[in-house]
Amino acid sequence: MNFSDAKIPAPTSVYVHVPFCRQRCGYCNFALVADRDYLIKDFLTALESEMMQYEATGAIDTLFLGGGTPTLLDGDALTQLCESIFRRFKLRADGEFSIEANPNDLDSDKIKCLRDLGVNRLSLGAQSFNALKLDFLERDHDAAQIYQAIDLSRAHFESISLDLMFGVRGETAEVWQTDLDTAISTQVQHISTYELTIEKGTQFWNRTNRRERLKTNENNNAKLYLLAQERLTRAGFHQYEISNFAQPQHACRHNQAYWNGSRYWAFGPGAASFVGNTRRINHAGVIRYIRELKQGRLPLADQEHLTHRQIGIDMLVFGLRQVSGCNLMRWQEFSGLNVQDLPTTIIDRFIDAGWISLDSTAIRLTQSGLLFADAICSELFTAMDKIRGQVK
Amino acid sequence: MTEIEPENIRNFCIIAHIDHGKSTLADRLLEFTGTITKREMQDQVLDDMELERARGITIKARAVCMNTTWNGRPYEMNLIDTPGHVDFHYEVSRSLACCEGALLLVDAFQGVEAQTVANAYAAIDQDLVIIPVINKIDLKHQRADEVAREMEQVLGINQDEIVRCSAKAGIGIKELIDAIVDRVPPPATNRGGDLQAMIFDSHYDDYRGAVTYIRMMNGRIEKGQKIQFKAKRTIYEVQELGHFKPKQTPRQKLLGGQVGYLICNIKSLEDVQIGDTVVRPNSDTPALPGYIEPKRMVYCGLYPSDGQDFSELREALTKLRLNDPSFEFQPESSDALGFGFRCGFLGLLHMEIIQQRLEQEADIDLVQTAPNVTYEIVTRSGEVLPIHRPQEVPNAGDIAEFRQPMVRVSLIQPEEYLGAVMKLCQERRGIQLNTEYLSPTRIMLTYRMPLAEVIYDLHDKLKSATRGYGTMDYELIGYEPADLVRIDILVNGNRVDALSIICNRGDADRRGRAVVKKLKEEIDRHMFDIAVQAAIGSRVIARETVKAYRKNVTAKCYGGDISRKRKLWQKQKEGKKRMKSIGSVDIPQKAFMAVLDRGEER
Ligand SMILES: Nc1nc2c(ncn2[C@@H]2O[C@H](COP(=O)(O)OP(=O)(O)OP(=O)(O)O)[C@@H](O)[C@H]2O)c(=O)[nH]1
Ligand code: SF4
Ligand SMILES: [Mg+2]
Repeated sequence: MNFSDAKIPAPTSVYVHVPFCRQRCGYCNFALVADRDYLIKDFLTALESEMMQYEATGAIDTLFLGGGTPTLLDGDALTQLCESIFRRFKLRADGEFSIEANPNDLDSDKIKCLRDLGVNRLSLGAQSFNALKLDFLERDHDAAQIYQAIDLSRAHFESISLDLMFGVRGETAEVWQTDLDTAISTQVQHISTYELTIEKGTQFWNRTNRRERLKTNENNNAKLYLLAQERLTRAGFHQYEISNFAQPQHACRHNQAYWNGSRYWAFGPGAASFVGNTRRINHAGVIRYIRELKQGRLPLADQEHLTHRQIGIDMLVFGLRQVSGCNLMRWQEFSGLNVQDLPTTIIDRFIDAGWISLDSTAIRLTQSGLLFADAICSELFTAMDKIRGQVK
Repeated sequence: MTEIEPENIRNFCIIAHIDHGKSTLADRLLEFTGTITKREMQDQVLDDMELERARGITIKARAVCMNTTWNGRPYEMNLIDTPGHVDFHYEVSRSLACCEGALLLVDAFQGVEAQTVANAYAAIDQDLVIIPVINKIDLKHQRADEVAREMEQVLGINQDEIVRCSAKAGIGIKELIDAIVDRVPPPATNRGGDLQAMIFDSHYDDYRGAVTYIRMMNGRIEKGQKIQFKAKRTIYEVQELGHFKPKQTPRQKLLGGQVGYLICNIKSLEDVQIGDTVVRPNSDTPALPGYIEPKRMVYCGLYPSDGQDFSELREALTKLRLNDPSFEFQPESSDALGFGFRCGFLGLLHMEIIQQRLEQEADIDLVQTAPNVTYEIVTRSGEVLPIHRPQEVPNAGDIAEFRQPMVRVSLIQPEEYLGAVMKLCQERRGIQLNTEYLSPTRIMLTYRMPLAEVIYDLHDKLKSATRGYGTMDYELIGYEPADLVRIDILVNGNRVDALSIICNRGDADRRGRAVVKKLKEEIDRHMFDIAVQAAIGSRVIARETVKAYRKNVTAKCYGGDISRKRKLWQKQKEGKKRMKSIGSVDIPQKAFMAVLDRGEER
């Protein structure tokens, strides 16, 4: 097989970034503005014109409204937003339509509005049920609001997902287990667990630089992670990616598209798309985003045209995040690479360490490999890129 | 064209501390004498190497011939613009030997600085007539009167002789040319006598081979004539000769007293020995005194990164040396790094420049070991071994005496920083030799110090201790016994020869701790823990551990994260380009520099 045989799939997913929040949480570095709702109107206009600038149309399988807090928009704004998306894209009948929501934004009117717009998957930024933890994370809701949001939504959406965060300073296994068990008891269909990370450009980053300790240590985090695997699996969730657990049939198809090397459109500040052989990323500044589009320019911060080899490398290293690994048949079909292109010495080293398994159908991380996913993927990425010379 | 008489020739160079305006003054002189038109002019026009323009400093001395009519008489003035940086001081000494006069420039704000003193003494030693010049009098904060007193005090200059000018604003240039005409003596030469010329520089031209720069002492040379290089005993036919104006401008002949160039189909700069004498073939005209070879002050190893070619590196070094014979290299091998080259440099700036040129011009990823000075060891059997790299130090039992190169350092700074500078020098094992007031507020300190304590970072440290006002100069004064030890670095139990260092026994513990700490920061995590140890002989003096990969479980990774991660990894990959695998441990370029860490305040 050679590169000319590699297939380029058509984009089947759309992501739209809604960059508004009431306030910025201390750990958050997403592209957003806090408490500046007067920009919403301009944003919607800009977004519409961004979508118009691409020849972006067609039927899609998944649509994801993320943020920020999309549910901060009122009913009219949400309707306007969805109308401009649906003017360009048609969501297939069995399509997945997700929206991120803050627990304290959801009342029955908002929920009804979302359902009428076609939303069928709700991703709730719960983070924790523990009052101290919520306070530490600077969240503006409490546990009661999470329960309430879930109760109001349950009947209206096919899937509800909760985001939970762990590894907060002083967090013990008991605290985390209570969060997990509480989440399980709400009977949602999907749970994502994230370790607190300290990102540049956040309050937490500055505090860390002032030598304040905000996280628990490495070993404790690994313990908490294993605890999540254990509790969630026991409750009937299956883990399908490093941080994602779902009841059968409830995995998030939109996110799977990212890891499978599928193509996706993305609009809004800071949004990153992958269409054809090109990866693009927008300016993260909301004002900048609006201004560029007002002046008729695309708000691009960066774009990169990838070779088939690079695409293959991405498919491999990001595919590995999934518990099912990277499917080799599909990988060969879409990248034109084959098993001989894998960096043998490194792969062998990881296999010997029991971190990777490789058979004729897939390459995947083992249970212990999952704990080192980042290091493994970054090593593979570097090594594969190095031997570029071999393939013309 | 009528021949220019010796009494109408003036040969002089411009010397000064770095940045005092030599090259800018040369611009003005070129303009005033009509050598370069205003249209062709650009700032520091003689600094035409790419690196000179990028760094805003002169690296190589440049000779220019200016023909002009002054007060109704024709003059030929040969000017040599010299570099101010210490590393290139030997270029100044060479230039001085071709001149009867020197313009000693001093910045009207900065005043007398360390290289001012060093260069002035060098000119006085050669019996040159010095024209003292205060430059930059246009500066708002100029303090020319005080500077004049400093010059009198330190350099014994008569204040009445000082010419004040601004090279930038073009003030006082006419007066300066008057002074050159009046005060610089014409060359003493016997044009009817036998040919005798001094080779003071050369450069390599890709198409024409070596271009030899000469100062005519006696006699004459004509195009087509045969000449001989006295020391090398080689004979050539002169294909072209002429003046730099500043471009090479061919002439029919060069006469006693003039400065110019020869092109003789010479394939390599190795064949042109700077300081050699040009004579008629087989004549018994005596050789001129010549120059002392510039001393390489620091050495480092240059190795191709993993996956790069050794022979490519050799080619690149050979080519570079064609243009810069002051740098030298020899093949060497290291257990840890494989095959590479040991390279000698005039100083750290020189090293940096060579490295930059290698990377720019040859596109080679290099792994460079930390620079070190050359030590000497007297063995039990009485042999004296030069030690160009730490791993050559024999076992302690075989050493009768361990010697290190010493320098005399002069440091000039405003009085208020005296305490800080003295502390700095003491920490570096300096022994104070002298204190001299240049003016009521500025002091020159002289110390005797190990070169190793000076060369890596004393200049930076001095600058930060004096808010940029301190300057320093140093010269080698010989070798001295000292209580030195070799510290070895072990990575996972294996000694990495390229990481060994030599230091004073009293500093060993602190240095050892600092180095392993720094190495811990520079070496990436691997699948296993990595022990990094410092040891003297078999005694471990410091230890750190690079922990195995972090369990980094749940960094989320969606659309935008994927794009960002790729970028990050691509950047890391760039960093990994300059890397050596030693055993199963990948050691990045930066780690090799870690051994310079002194463990001082941070
Ligand atoms: N104000 C003012 N600035 C000057 C004058 N002469 C030179 N400069 C500035 O001083 C800086 C250094 O000038 P150069 O001519 O490169 O100095 P240099 O002595 O040749 O420096 P090196 O060759 O690196 O030792 C430049 O920024 C010049 O523009 C002057 O008369 N007045
Ligand atoms: S609500 Fe979510 S998107 Fe908004 S600031 Fe907090 S963490 Fe960031
Ligand atoms: Mg200069």
